[in-house]
This record gives sequence, structure tokens and C-alpha cells, in this order.
Amino acid sequence: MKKRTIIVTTVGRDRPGIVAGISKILYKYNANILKSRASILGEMFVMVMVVDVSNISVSLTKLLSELKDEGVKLGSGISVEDEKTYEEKKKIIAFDMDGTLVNMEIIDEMAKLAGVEDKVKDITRKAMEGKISFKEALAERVSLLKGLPLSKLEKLKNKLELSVGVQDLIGELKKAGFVIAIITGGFDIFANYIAEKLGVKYVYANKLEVKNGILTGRFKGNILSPEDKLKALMDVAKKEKVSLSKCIAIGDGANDILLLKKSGLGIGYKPKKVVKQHINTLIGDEDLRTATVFIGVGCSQIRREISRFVKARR
Amino acid sequence: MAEMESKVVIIAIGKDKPGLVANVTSVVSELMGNIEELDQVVLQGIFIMSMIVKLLNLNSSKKLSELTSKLSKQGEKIGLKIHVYPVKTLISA
Repeated sequence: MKKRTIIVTTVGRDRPGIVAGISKILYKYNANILKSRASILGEMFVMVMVVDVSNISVSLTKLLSELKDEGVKLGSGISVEDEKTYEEKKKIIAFDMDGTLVNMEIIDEMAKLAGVEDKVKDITRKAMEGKISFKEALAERVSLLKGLPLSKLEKLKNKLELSVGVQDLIGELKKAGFVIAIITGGFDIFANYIAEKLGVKYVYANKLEVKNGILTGRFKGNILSPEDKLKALMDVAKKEKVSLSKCIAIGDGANDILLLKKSGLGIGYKPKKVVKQHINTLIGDEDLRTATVFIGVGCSQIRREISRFVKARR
Repeated sequence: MAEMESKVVIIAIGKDKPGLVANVTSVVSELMGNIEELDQVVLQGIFIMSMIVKLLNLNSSKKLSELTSKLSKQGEKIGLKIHVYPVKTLISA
């Protein structure tokens, strides 16, 4: 019988129990580790396992889901890939903004300024959990922001906090020649600001309508739906003349699911529960630099070594 | 040198089957051993694993004998021969 194997990569701050935690789950479902290697690189613990899943006692989905949960529990990043995803070189990376590049939901901050914080927060949470449609929720919240002056939003720009490791990650991606995009259901004025700050090439965001320096509570043009986020990435891919399989997407919310699923590598960053089941790679801690190992930039010798290691078996 | 004194090499070998890594590493993490490096393969059905473990507890000589005996007991249970060597003794040899 042909062996069916997966590659499990765990990356995280070094601490006892990571190997035990992951291998315990594999054992529980009769998955056999054919080969594994772990070492500490700087402050990061990186472990790669080639796992035979031909005889597992549950569905692969169930096994993967428990591995992902364990990754979150250990505060590590974890990726479960087949070899094909592993080998394909990526060229484009698309970031979600709120909750991913930026360590906050910007619309909630805008709501504070407009004095409608509670109402808006409530709708934001429901939308991110996928309980109400993204479009509907966004339109409702933006209408609550009617009358907010642009001058206040300018001040908010300076208060935006980037997530841990964003600058380092972007720096490494650029060095490796990646094309970087922001594809967000958030707002253009912030997305453009961040894009400029980080040197991002493409921005797809929702455009707020402004009249006489004041938000009208409406949008300019159509609202970006989850489908539109995917279309945006396809658009970038087309412009850069590469296929979607060479694209990476990083996001956290329900409106990123489609994008994460359809791109060559979808990375959930502190993903919401509803997102987790749809992805094979996630970052369970704060530090976005964990992504460098999964993408194979920066500490690229790690990835090269991993790659050699994975291939060497046969 | 102080750092080296608390490090050990653990070697485990036996017939391959699921659960061997889990059973060995659970003992290690129970005793607060931190795995710094690990290399494991299956060659023609034989499981071979080596790792370097740093013992995080201060009283390392007592810890070492505890680790050694717990691992060899665990090894018997799962059909592995497990050996523990302090890094110090290997380097100065």
C-alpha cells in the first residue's frame, strides 16, 4: 500500500513539552512518525515531522484539527501540509489589515471617536465570528459613523499599533522578492497609510465616502465581500503573472476564509474559531515572525534544511 | 561548563511502531527536560532516535538518575532500549 504522509512543522518559543504535546496526539490516533528533527534556532524552536497517516484511527480532518488546537495551546505556530504545498515557491503575499497587520479592529477605534463604541463593537464581534454577513454588518456600522470628521481619523492613524513582528516579516519578504498586498474589509484611508509605511504594492480596501471633510456614513463604490477579497488576490496574481497557488494569504477573521482556502498557502494569524477548521497553517502566538519559517524567508536556511530533510527519506 | 553539566544525550532504539516518540518525550517533559535537538528516523523498520536534553531543574545528579530509571522502565514497556549519557562525560572523554 502506498503510504500517505503529511508534514507537520511546529514553530514557537522554546519550552518543554512541545515534542511531547504534538507526538501524543499523533500516537492517540495511530499516526506514525517516520522521521523527525527538531532544533533551537535563536529563540525559536523548530520541529519538523514526516508522519505516516495511512493507518490513522480517525479522519485526517479530525487529526489535523486536534494538532492545530494543540499548536494554539502550546502557543506555537503549526502547519500541516502535504509535500506539494511544501515544495511550491511562493511569490505574492496578501495581508488582512485589522487583527492581522494591525493589532486592533480599527472600526472599533473609530466608533469610540464617534461615541457609538458599544453598538459597533457588538456588530464587529458578530461579523468576525461569522454570525452575520460581513457586508450587512459593515454597512450598518459605517452608517453609525456618519458625521465623524476626517481630522479625527488623521489622528487615529498615528495611534495604529502594528502586530508583533510585522516589520521584520515584511522586511524579510521584501528581501526574498515577494510582492506584498493588503486585502482588507477595513478602510482605505488606514490601509493606504499602512501600505505606505510598510512599502506595500497593492491595496484593496473599502472606500469611505467623505463630504466636506466629514464621513457621510456611506461607501464609495461597492463593499468588499469575502468573494471580492479572493477576486482581489486573483487580480494581483494576474497582474504579477503568477498562479494563485504561488500566493500566500494571512488573516484572522471569517471574511478571510475563502482567501485562505483558495491561496497556495493560507496562514491563520491568531485565527478565530470559525477560521481554524479551514486552514492548515496557523500562528497561535502573537509573533508574526513565526510565519518566516512556514514561508521560508529570513531564516531560509531552516526551510532549505527542512526541505532537504523531507525529501531525503525516499 | 555549568551549562553542559545539565545536558544529556538520550538514545532510543527498537522496533518501530506508533507512539514511541510520544512515550519517550512525555517522560522527558514530565521531568522538566527541555529538548534542544532531536533527530529521529525509521530505517528498515527500526526506530532510532537521539536527542540532546537540558535538565531545567537545579539538582541535576538526582534528576539524572531519576530520568535514567524512568526512561529505561518506559523503554521496557514499549520495546525500546534507551540510554542516557551526560554530555559532560562524552565531551571530556
